[in-house]
Amino acid sequence: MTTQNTINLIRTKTTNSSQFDAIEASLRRSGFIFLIIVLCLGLLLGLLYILFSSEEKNLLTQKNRYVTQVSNDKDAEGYFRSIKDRTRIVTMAMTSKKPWSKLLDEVSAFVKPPNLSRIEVDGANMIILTVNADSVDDILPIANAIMAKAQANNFINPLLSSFQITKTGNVLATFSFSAVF
Amino acid sequence: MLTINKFFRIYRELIISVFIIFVSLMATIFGIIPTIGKVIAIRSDSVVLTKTIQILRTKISILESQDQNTYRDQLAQLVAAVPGDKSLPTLFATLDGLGAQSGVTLKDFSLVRSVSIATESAVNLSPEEQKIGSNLLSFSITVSGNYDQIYAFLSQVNNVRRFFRVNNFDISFADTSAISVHMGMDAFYSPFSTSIGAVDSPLVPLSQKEEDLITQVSEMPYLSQAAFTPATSAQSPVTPKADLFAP
Repeated sequence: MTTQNTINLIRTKTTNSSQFDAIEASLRRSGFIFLIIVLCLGLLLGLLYILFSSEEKNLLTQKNRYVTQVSNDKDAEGYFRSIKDRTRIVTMAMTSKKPWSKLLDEVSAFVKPPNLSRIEVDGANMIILTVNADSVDDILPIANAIMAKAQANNFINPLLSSFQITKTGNVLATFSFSAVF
Repeated sequence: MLTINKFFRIYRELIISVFIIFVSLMATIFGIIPTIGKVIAIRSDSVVLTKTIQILRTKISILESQDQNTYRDQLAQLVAAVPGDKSLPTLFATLDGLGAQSGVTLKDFSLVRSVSIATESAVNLSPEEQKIGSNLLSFSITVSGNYDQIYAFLSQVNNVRRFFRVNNFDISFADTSAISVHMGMDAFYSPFSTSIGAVDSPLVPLSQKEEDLITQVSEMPYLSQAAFTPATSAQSPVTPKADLFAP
């Protein structure tokens, strides 16, 4: 029994204010919603985890089976990769070959021995023709033919490198150009 | 104690709600979030595995689309054109065959550079070789014959199954019945790759262009074949001895 002259700070009667009730109800509601969400999410994630794990396990089994199969075919793979690599090299090698017989055909179309005395081809694809003729008039068709080939883009950068008239009237001319194959 | 009981009795619902929220929060932090991470990781692994399986399937279908012997034969055709080493015997045999076919006489063969005794992987490629993607064995040779024979040699040298290229030559037409041409030539060769890559490295099937190239190469005459026909025991003039040291 409390005496009248004492101060009791704890209220003898608890009265919940309406604000407190609202907070409490809100917390209760939020807590349940949160719990339901967590439970649903947990269930969903659990299902997904099981599903994906089993899928991954299947894929791993499948992969191991294929890896074994590929390992058994490693000789064939070695041959195949070598074929792929060598076709690339062979293509490049074929591209870098020059059909010089075609050049001889083209040159013989406008000058032949004995007028054509020399054909020189250097490593830089420069072709030097040494031509001798009885007169300047015989050289002109050859020069015109080389110019025509240059205009048709068969020859590049044609030059009359030297021109010499001997005492007997013979002409010795040197033409140089690069061929396009 | 009485006070605590009273407190719990008054705030029971509030405490339960807070506890539920707390438990849900802990479940989210320690359960849901890590599981989401794991599910995402498993899914990513599955995607990678699916791609790898697709690569392996393609690889198996390519490798099993033809017999291994077919691949070996196709490779042999290409290797005859561009061998894995300098292969001087096939070089000489092919030049000899070319000489016989075109009717020219071959003489004064000399290598431009001395043949290295280092392994092919240790040899530094020249810029020209790097451009082509193949090693080059440069040599010079003198070819003698009439104009038609020289022309035939220059035509056929590009169409034999040991790849050569003519870099330079000098034809003097002083006497068209006996022309002597000094030629600078290269023979192609390329060492084999020593690794085939990882099991799951992708394999691209041969394109139509590549198959046509193999056919084209296999149709070229192989002039060094006769030089390398293995002798059978019946043809072999030497009978092996059982005991090498027997009298």
